[in-house]
Amino acid sequence: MMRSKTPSPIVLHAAATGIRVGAVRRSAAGLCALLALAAIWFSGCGPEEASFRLNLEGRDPAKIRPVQNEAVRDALQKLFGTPDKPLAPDDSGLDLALLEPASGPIGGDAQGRQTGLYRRYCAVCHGTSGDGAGPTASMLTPYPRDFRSGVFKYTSTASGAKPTRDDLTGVLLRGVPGTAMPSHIQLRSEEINALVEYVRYLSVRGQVETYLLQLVVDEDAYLPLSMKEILEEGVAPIAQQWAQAPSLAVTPPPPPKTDTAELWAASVARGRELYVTKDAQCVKCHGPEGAGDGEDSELYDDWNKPKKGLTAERTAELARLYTLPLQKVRPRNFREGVFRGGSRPEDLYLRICVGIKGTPMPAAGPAPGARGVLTPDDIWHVVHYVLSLSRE
Amino acid sequence: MSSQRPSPIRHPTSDIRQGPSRWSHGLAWALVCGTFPLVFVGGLVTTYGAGMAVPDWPSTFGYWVYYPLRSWIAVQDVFLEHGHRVLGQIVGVLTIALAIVLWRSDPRRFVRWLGLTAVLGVVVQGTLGGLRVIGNDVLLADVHGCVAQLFFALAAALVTLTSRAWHAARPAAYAETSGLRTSPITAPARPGGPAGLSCRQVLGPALKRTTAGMAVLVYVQVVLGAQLRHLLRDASPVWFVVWVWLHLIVAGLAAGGAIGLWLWIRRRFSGMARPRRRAALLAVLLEVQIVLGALTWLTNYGWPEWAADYIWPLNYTVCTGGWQQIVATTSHVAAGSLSLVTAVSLALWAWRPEDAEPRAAPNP
Repeated sequence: MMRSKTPSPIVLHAAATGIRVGAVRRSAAGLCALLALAAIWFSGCGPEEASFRLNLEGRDPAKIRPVQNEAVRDALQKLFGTPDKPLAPDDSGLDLALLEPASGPIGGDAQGRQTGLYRRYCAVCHGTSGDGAGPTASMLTPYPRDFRSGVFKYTSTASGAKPTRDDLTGVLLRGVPGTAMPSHIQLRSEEINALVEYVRYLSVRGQVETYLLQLVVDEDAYLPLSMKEILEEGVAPIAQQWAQAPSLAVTPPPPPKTDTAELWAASVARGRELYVTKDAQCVKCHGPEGAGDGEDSELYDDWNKPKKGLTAERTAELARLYTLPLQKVRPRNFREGVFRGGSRPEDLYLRICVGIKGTPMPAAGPAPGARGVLTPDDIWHVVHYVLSLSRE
Repeated sequence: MSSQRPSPIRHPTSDIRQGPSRWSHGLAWALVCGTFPLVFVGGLVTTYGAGMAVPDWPSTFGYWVYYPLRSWIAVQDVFLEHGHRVLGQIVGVLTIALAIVLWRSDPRRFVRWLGLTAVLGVVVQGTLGGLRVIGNDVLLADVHGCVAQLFFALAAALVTLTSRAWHAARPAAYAETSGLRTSPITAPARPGGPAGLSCRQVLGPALKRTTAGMAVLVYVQVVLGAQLRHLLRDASPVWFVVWVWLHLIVAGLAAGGAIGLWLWIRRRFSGMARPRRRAALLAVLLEVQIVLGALTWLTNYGWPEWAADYIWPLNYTVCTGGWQQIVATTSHVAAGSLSLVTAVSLALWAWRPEDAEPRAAPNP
């Protein structure tokens, strides 16, 4: 007698559940194969060595030949190395030992010493090249700083001067309130120093890069200078600007006495008077009540000005030459009480005295080489007025 | 008074109703309980940027078996990264043990194969993690993060599939409580079709498709989130915009869809307690995720300027490695994992065989 073939429990179960056994098996096998393939595929895909992106922002590709680009790239690599192995040219004022922990790929050792600090903490916004066009940049307001121009907003130095190490350290520790720039207060002081040095390195390198690119365009030549000449005529003057920064720093003098309510009120009233004067120009952008609603609403910083054409068509045409779209600057609304350069009275004093570099906020106070439209006491009165607005 | 209850039909494979051994369910739970901290610590490793704190793999600073405890706890990043590896090893052992028990005791072949798939998954996942370290490769870290969530979902699925509840017979009154009498869908499912079917029978396929779709949607959302966490340093800024918008759109779809799904199940499948509870939990988790996502943005990228205009100016400074950033970001990742396993569990319960009800007669 023939035995009838009994379906296996799995088949019966599958029949009951509506799950096709073959489909399950095939899916499982497919998933395994996919995972195995992914592992094999990615195992051969290590990261390429990091490189600096050439600064072609705003440059018409028709006006610079690829061979010129390559010449500038080679010269820069000889002088400054790569993101993984940076070099400090002679007389550049850069400290290679300080740079080391900040450069290279992210890593660490058993003692907790970190390497690749810049890529770990900064590159995601500021980009590996320090061009302010990292992966997150276009969604941030304001855009992350492009270090390559050597211009930094919040400094203690006179108008046009480079920042001191302390200025950069202050921004790293304090962050920039109301923006995506974080405070790095959790880092050790040697790590902060390394990051400051690396930012200086990217700035010096960026300025030399701009100088060389301008040179090859102006001369319409391959690279008209030897390395020695580049060092003397390109690197040295830039390094000197950075070296001079501490001598151009402004230290806020002690404020006038405001220890009684009457003195404070008088100082605030005087600050209000100065605030609305034509010389101080505060009202023009910040508005009569400090709400950031002045009549000047078309304001751009130095990084965005070149993107703005006189007509909408020209602006759209220029947009193709830049990584990030045009972005306006908004004057601070003092009533919100958010001060990006720091909210201590001393910080506000410096913002008024030396301005915010690269932005329409001018320097109004006396500084080395500048008389200024406001005296130190006047600046303090305006500071008190601004603080009074934020406390309302 | 005669009861109209349909008589329970014996499952064609009622022998497997006895279910797999207790061991398999216990081990599946142990695996899930080991995998969640593993995923959580993995999230912490990414949040702290500690993925390269230990530069070698599979050894740790040259130690193959035992890395000294004193060195392990001395440095925060090493503590996290090596802790992640140790948890990974524990999960690996649990996975192998579960696969063996399933292979020996579970009568369902597809469950046995799922156990083996889990072993393969844990091996591949560990290898991906190792290759990420050896190659210092952010892209591999991204893949590692995405596969981790799949593995966690698989482990959770094994808990469901090995549970007693899964194998238990449904009460005979199930068809009544599922809306047979109260639901308007007692008419023929289609003109000329059989009348008197329960909601589950009429809407069951739609429920299966919807819950499976929800699980896929939640996983897509998890993958999109991983893209935001593992940004290639030289990627075009355009990609971030794409990922952020997709993450927001899918968040809206998933959160809104989860509420709709829960209301639908509550109304039409009121007798299905487990799917209903899971749908409710999923809806809550995904709404919480919206809040955690907003907090994650705030603590990583600050208070947006438009929010200062339209909501409230906030004097907030982002702090790298600050506790707010760590708590918000890692909670967002963890709640994402929990949402995924909830969605998978919901889908499994929706797909569970309908063995206590009579099958619908085929249409003439």
